[in-house]
Amino acid sequence: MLKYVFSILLFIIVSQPTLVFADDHEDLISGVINAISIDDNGNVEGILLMMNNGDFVNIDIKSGDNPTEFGLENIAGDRWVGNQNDNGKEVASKLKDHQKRFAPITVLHEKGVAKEIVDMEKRNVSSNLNFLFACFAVAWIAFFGYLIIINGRIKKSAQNG
Amino acid sequence: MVRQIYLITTGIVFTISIWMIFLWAPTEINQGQVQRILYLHVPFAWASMVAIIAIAFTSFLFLLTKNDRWDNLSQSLAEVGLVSAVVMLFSGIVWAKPVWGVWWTGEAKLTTALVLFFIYCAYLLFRNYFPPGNARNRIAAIIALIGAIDSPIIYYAAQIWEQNHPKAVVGPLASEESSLNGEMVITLLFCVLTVTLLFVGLVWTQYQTNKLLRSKNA
Repeated sequence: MLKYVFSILLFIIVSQPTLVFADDHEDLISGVINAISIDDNGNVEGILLMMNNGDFVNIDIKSGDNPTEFGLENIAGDRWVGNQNDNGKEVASKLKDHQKRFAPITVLHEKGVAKEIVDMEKRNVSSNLNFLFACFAVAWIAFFGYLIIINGRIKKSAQNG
Repeated sequence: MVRQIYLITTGIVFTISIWMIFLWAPTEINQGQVQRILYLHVPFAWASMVAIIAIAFTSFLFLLTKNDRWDNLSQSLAEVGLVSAVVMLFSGIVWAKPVWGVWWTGEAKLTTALVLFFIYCAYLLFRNYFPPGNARNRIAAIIALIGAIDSPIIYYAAQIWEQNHPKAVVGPLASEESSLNGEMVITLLFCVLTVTLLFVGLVWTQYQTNKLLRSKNA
């Protein structure tokens, strides 16, 4: 019986994608800024992003309702968080700084319209898997350990009876 | 029969929740895979906080009716509540290290959660070391009633003190900014359901065991 259960579980695991990054209608891309389009008021309209495979992608930057949110660091590592409604010139300044430094960014976009732009994650986010494993392993050991303790109590009381 | 159906249902729901946590829910952009601890941390936090409220309620009923059944239920809830609190604290500690860079910090939500753990310990230690009888049960009920005050404090801590711990991501306190996306929130709610089923099952088993032990000791 158990081997059938494990076979079904194994089938489910291997038949699924192991990593899903965002909602179906959203997409994540990373690259360096090749060009920045700025309007007369100093607001950024869009950027041309060069990805690591050499492809170029046009990304529109949104103001007004649901503006594109930025989380960008300067060379010293100070992080600036905001959008064009808060400070349009700061957005342009930060993007130009990234363009000059060839600092890679990650863009979460929906049909070419950016929702979030942040510095590209340099560390490997998967490297925290040991924490994830430790957490789930210990939690379930504690939980099922408690089940064993209860079971022991039941057996003990049955033997005494 | 009911017990078997409950066990099978819980087993199925548990398996589905594992699939949802590791395969269905999307990976969070900023934290990566480690964010999946959320699906363990929040349901157990929920269980431990609801348990202390339930203990206060059953303790109140015990004080009112003097019926041992309520006292037994309080004890069973406390034991399972303690296990939930341990899982909540441990998962929080392990999550804090990669995200905040420290295992522990003295911020409000963490401290009040630790207080909840100590309340469970105090309640159960008192029950174990104080001679059995009506006086013990009454004092334990009063400890539980006082201890339950901690639960709403934990829930509102992130809103009141606004420190490192993120604000609520679901429920009435969740804001637009802090709320989760569709698949994540479905996974989280499903995990809350799973832990609730496990919690009720364990409390029920513990209740029956205590009942048996009490009847033998009587």
